Amino acid sequence: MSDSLFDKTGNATWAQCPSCDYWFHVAPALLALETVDLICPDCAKPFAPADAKALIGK
Amino acid sequence: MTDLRSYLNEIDNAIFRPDQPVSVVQEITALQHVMAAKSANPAIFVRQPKLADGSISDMPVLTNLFASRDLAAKALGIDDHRESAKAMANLSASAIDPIVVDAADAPVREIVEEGAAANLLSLPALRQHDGDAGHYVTCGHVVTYDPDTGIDNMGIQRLWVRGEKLLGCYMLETSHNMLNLRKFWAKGEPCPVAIWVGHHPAVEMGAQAKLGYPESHWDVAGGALGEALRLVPSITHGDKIMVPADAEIVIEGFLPPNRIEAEGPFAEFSGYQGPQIPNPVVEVTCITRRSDAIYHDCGSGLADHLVPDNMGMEGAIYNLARQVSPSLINVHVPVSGRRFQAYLQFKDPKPGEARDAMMAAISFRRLKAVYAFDDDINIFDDREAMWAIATRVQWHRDLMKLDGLTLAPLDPSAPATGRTITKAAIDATLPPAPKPGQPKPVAPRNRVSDDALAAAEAVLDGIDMTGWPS
Repeated sequence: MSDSLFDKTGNATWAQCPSCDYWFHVAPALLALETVDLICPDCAKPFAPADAKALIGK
Repeated sequence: MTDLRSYLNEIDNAIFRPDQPVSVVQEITALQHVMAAKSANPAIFVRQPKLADGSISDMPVLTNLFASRDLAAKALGIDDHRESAKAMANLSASAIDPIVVDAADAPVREIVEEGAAANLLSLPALRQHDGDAGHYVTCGHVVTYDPDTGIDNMGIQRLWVRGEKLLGCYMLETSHNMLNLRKFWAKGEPCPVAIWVGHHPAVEMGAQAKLGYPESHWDVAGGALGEALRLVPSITHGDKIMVPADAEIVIEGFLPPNRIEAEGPFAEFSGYQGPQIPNPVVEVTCITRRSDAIYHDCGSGLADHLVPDNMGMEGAIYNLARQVSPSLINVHVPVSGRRFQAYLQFKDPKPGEARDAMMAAISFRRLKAVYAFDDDINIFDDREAMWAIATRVQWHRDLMKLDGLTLAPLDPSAPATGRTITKAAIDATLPPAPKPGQPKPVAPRNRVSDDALAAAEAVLDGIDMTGWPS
């Protein structure tokens, strides 16, 4: 991560559903809770953040 | 009695009623997008909403009710939408106390479904945009109360229909409803809640007035309507939570303590998708409605969503800035800037006054930038605003940046870390004339005479310009 004030680094965090591979936009605050399941908007599967197939931007 | 259907009768010619079934899964919202692209803003009344399973709902869907700024203003009794800032600023002054009516005189009580009979899936809630977590109630006015004072609060919050009796409920951490919820939860108690859908648009806009805490919205909503709002005790919570007798639908329930679940993603007012976030849920106990209820939807991120709240912001910002600037004459929160930008208009401001006013206005939490314009600029036309910025601003002199101010919620460009942002104020006013009656010390703007304009209008009178190159 750059420490420049002027670099555009983005701010979105993404999770990938372990069941259907769908990527969706999640807030870091939700991932930080760890005990609250994410819910895939595509297949409705609930899953723990640790079980995400992938996380980007965390 | 003044309610949603009496208003629809008033604006009958401004309603588009498609004859064919239209799906609640994106198709109704797509209609709004297509119409917005053509600058057409009628209300949309879908007689045959097609549900996700392909069946046709008995309950019609109304949407796009607020997309027209002109119509929204007229619903409040404001003849010219450009006067909404002052009118909204004075809403509290014209408050009218609500009255309580008997349940037998409450149309919203014509059908009462409690316990097992209560089923959220009976509502034709829309799944508006690609990527939304599911079907959302988008025009639900969420009512809670402060357990310390008993004073109720009300705000529109997005509500994800997760099952027959379960809603995800987006509550901004700083919202007054969240303050109420936290108080109940601190005692280990569920937070009582009622959600009403559908009423005269003046009530819905008055209910969104920016008030202090704790402060009830009912009297301001009545003032906006011009008559006392008729309330009835909710079935589940009695007179601790009142609901509008003339609403279309009421959903009642509780927010169980410390039950936090994932909610979203949802396409938001910014025009970008808001992420999945932790939020409370509502366990539904009861649904009441009219026997021929109309389901009111609000197209998220569209003018339908932005116009009423932006007009409320205009009133609040006018009040803030006017305290330090008597030369402030108007405020516009343009749909193009979502809720992040405000245009302030001045009539001969004294040196420094536009800056003072912008400093007051920028304290409004949602704003990221404010702009000051003279009274020769039509602040309701973005092209004129951009022209003034392009031709009247020198950045070393007219741009002010303020660091460490509160974050605008759901700003898609907000920094990934940190809790504050830098806001900007841009002074696009001209320097004052040396003396009253003398020209300002700047180049005059191009113009043609009023006579020439009138002559041109006469030449074009009656000519159909559709099909001409744009």
